[in-house]
Amino acid sequence: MNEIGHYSACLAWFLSLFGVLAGLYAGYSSKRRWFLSVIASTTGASICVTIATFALGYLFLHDDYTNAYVWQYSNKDMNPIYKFTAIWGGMDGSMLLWCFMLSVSSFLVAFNAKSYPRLLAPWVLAVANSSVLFFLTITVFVTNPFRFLRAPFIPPDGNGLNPLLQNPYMAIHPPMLYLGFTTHAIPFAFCLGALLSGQLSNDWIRLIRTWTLAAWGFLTCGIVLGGYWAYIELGWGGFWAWDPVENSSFLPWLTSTAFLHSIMVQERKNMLKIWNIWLMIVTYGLTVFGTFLTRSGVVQSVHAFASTDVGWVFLAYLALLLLVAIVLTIYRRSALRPERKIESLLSREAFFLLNNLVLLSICFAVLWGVLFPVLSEAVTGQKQAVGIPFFNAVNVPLFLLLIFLMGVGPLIAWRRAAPSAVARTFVWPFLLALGIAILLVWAGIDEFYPVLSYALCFFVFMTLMGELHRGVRAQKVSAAAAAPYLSSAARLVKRHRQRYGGYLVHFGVLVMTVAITASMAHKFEKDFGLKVGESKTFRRFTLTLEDVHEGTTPNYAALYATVKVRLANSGQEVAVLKPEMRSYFRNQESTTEVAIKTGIREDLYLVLAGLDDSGTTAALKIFINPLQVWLWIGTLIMLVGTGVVIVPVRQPARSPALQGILETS
Amino acid sequence: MAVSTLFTALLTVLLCWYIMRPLIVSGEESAAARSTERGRMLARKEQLLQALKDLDLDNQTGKISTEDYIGSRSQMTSELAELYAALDSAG
Repeated sequence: MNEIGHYSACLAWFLSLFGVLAGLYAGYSSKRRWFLSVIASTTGASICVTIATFALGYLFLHDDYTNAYVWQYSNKDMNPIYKFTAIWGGMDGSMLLWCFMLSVSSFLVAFNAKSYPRLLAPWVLAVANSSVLFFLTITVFVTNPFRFLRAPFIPPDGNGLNPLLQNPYMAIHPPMLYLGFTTHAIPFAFCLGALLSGQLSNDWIRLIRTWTLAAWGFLTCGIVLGGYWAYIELGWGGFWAWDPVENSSFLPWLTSTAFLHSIMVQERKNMLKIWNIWLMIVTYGLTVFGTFLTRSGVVQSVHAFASTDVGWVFLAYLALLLLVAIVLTIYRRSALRPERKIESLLSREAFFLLNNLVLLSICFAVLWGVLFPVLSEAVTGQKQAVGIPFFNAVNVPLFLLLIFLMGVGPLIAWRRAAPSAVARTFVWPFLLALGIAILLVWAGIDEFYPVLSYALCFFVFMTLMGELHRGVRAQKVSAAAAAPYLSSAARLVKRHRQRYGGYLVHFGVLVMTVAITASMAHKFEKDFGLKVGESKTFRRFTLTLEDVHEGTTPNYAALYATVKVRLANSGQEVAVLKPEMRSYFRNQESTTEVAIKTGIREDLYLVLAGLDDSGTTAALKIFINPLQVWLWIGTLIMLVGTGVVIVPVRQPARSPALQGILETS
Repeated sequence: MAVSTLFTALLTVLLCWYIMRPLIVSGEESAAARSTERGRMLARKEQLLQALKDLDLDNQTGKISTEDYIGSRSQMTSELAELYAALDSAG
């Protein structure tokens, strides 16, 4: 199976190379035969990479330690699920998985390529194949996961997977993130294909809509799953630490979000053409740059699972991409001139541009924070780290500005809004938000940013509700119908599914923002010791240590604690928490298994840190994180909203009303 | 011969045939081009119909000036009429 895997990967490399060259020739010569051949080679490459990926999975599941990668990242005692997920436990398999996802995405493009504009499609396939070719070059020539183990005998057992990665969420977080990264390669392929072919009408924007939304959804899901994994696995009570590798996935998310908003301006007003092209190029570039950060080891990170010296290859690829994009943009500059200009600062296009600028400012601030240690070392010779306070100080006000724009932008008129109409739309949400702010201060929350955050979220929520109400009212007037309010609202949402799907995403962001604000501003944490039978009270919970004992499994030795949680005022038992501390035999690593009582009001998060010298007192750490669960619920709402926007709307056949409009036009 | 060698040889031959086939066997180019163009027109039609609905809602909720609304709507309906005519003549 090792030979089959390796040979399939090599064959895929040749097919991708053919796909690039034949795609460029088909685009240049407009010869359909070559175009059809590129479709076939893209499909063939995808089949070969799929075979290679499943071959590696087979080797893991069958404990084939003749393969060096399998020996390094698996052992016989591991759960079969983790044996399979060990495929992406290290650099070699991660790259193969990356190739797999990228080639499947390219296959989907090839599958539909005959329906794309003829002059654009071959170039798109050439660029998509070039991305696959780059990652296959690394997989085949640098990080080959099909290397035989160089040992005089076949080892009886493997080295085992990092214990931190033996977690169900870690099984889905990296693939989801990779999906987000790799699917962004497709909008990039259309973007560069449009530049190469000169087909710079809005066709490419229309064709990538679903791809970009799906890529954004996958990336959102991957980032939040990573946060959830950090929350339940790392034992520090938080979900986001501005770690360089977390940031590297967040950077393309920011530019992709900006792109999703600014393409609406291009579709509607034929503006921001160069801006959109570069947003997509930068987004794809940042996915490559993120991989460079993750793989090169230039920055210190908790994600040290897969650092190698291959990172510099990514940097060279990135430099080449940027060079090609710059040359093409200059070459096509006349076709990229906007047909209109922004006429008023009080217009939707101006607010969308402002939203883009804020997103890019956050992106720049995060990038600066990530690179500062590297740059400071290069300039002064001393590495100066940038910590969480820097990121929070810079980004919190920018995020709050973004929330404000999220409330105003979609509700303001295109081209030029009348100040009186703007005042009418926003006066009540503003006054109500002001009331909420005063109420919060009166209730004892006197920190500036939390109060501002809650008030802004309420402001945006009210604007969304107002927008829905105005839509329903308008529909009732135009239809002259006496339909119930709720059914009118449902009909409105169905009729304008994409618009209201977008608002649902915004609502999810609001829920997340409230949860993040609450869990940051009102968090409680405390280290403490408990003897068996002893109790201590923290906020509204009383904790009693019922038991502490040691145990072993084939994979690790563990210290187990059982802690009963009661409500302090009533004494009612609400949970039994069982935190663990594990010490894995094979790689001598220790991990904490956190115990969490999740609730709508707050999460009670308990970490077992060990036993004292006498062996009678358990060292514990408690975190009480208000509204934490709403962060995950908010993400789900965002993803549902994304799904609603993605599903294509089928317009009915030509209706009599439409026929009338067309005849009079 | 090892199974893996046989498998990889067979895979190579099949894929070579699959990729070279379009270069050897000639296809109906003009029919394919017509089908692509029809697909593009249908997609544009869907997009315009949705854009018209959104424009009407923007007008009804006061998010667009009357002058802009009339101009944009007239532009969209003209394009839509041309598209329908082209689709009808294409069959």
